[in-house]
Amino acid sequence: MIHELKAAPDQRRTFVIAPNQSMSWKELLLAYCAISGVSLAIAGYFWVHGLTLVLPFSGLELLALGAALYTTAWRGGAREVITITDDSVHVETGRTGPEQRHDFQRYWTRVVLRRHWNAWHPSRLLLCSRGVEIEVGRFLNEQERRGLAEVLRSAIKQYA
Amino acid sequence: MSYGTTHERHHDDHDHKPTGLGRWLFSTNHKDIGTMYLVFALIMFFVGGAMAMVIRAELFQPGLQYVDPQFFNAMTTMHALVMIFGVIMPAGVGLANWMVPMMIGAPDMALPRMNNMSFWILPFAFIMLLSTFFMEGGAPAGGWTMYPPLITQLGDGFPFLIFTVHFLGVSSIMGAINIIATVFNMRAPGMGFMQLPLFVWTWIVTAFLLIASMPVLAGAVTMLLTDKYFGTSFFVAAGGGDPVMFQHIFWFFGHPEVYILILPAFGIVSQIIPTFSRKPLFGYESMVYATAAIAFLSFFVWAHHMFTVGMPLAGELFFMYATMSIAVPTGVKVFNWIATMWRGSMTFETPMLFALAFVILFSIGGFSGLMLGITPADFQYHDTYFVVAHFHYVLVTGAIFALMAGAYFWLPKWTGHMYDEKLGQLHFWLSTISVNVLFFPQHFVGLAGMPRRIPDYAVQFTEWNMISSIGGFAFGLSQLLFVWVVIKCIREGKAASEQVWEGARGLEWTLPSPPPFHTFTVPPKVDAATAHS
Repeated sequence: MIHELKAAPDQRRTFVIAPNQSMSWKELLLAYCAISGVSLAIAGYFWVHGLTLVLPFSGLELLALGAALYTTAWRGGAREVITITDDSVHVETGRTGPEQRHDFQRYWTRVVLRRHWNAWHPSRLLLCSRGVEIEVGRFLNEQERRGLAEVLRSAIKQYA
Repeated sequence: MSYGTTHERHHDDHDHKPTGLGRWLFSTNHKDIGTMYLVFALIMFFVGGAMAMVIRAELFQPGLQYVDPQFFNAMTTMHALVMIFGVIMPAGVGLANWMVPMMIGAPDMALPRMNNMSFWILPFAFIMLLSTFFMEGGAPAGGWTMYPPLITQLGDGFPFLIFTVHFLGVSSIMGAINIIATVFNMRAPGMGFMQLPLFVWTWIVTAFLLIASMPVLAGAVTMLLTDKYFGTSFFVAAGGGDPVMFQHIFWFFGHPEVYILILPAFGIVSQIIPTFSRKPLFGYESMVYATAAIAFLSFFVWAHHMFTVGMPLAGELFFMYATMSIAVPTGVKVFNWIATMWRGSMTFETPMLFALAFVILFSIGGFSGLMLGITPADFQYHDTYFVVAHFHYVLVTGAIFALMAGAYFWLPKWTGHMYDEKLGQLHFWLSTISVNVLFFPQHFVGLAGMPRRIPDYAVQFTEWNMISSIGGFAFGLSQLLFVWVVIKCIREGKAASEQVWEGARGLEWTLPSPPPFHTFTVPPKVDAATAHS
């Protein structure tokens, strides 16, 4: 998902890029604990009655479920904030807060959408300036990425 | 501001789609994987159906006609395994793959590569299972329930059976995990849990059931394996084990499995009836709670499958009343479907006909289930053809009819063409008449005492068995018509609109027909018009 924050008085434009995430980490954890509780209670009951081989399968399955939920939630937590000011382009990436920051001079910044030779692979959206390239919108879908490329080109050009 | 747009703006300009065999082998696209699941289920439907034809040919008259008793029993066992694990479950997963992401406004399943793996495990598992026909000792013939000690007497096919069950379990678990992760994390903005279409709800509950019950089956069959090959005595009485315990464990999985098969069918019917009644579903919330209640209760009724092995009176009473109590949420569902139709502007296209037949015929299966749940009566009915009639009303006129209804309902969306309505209706009437000719007489022979899983029977049962077999052959042939309708629909037919059906509501009906390879690449906004129907 791409959101643009309300225009600031100094005309800067800020785009927040985030994957669609319909459940919070806390809610996911709660759901996972509830599912695990039921499954482990069943396996535990059988273990107590001497049927020991149910528990290992429950454990494996819950590990897989946990990994799946963690992976999707982890993907969903990523954020990229692109700020375009009068003379610069800032890209901040991170999860709970900015972890990496890149600053470019707006005038020299180019937006490049590099398509893969194989249609199965997604394109890459790059911000390039003076030999430095950084990729943005990795977690976006193809259409979103292309839409973002157009919007960024227009925004950077608008102030150039 | 948001750049969220609907698909119309972009869908056809960059609709990259891989081609050739690789598209299917390595596909991570939910629509392609859904198609593969559905085609696989249809193929297995005819494999399992062919086995049913052998059974009905042998039972056409008393005496041994075509096959020896061992092979006959292999047919009944393999027919069940194929139909349960190879047809109904994959068809349900196929529909979920196709429809769940489109219904919740997600671009794909949450874990697409795992989705591919969970499908491709299936053909290998079934090749393993079917290869047991050519092994020393033949195919499994001890019943799909795999009760020891009988099942451990199987020849070389035994470990293949066990590993097939494991593979099928792994595939199901991966499918369930994917559905949970998708629905939890990838719902469109504004789509809360109480805005989900009923089909999605029934699949969430089904996924929970799979997660809770599959490890029990995996553990049980592994214990069978260690009993046979590694000297353990979990179920070996001579070593201090208890063969009856296997039955308890198996049915602890087996009864939730019944709901794993039927809950998605409830979901399909809950999508279709409001569409063709042109009314919102009556009692949406009660439908959700009824689904959850059925799933919850399914863990407390397993021993009604084994009243005759002996258990304390208190146990018999508990399991009898628990079984009866499932009729309450099921009754809520049937009531709501009827209330949805009440004073609706109904039309009777093929999906609606199958859905209506489902409501009526599944209820017959439900009522005979209630009869079987009465402990003293079950002592009379147990292991007779009455049980066979009961579960075929639930699984054929229940699950299979709902899957057929779903296929006709969504076929125009998938292919972009309307199917041939006349042929669809012909398929419906041939199927409905023949399936009743096939299974209804089995109530009579069952009540008269004809046991199940036997290749020969007393002459007094001849007439009803002949009628049943004729119904069986007619039902089998009728399904060839379905294949033709599907092929015809893929190749030709009137172009289908986005909405397809006048009364259809929901996000999937806002997409073009057929939907582009990538859908909802930008999450749609959910409002009253696109929320659940």
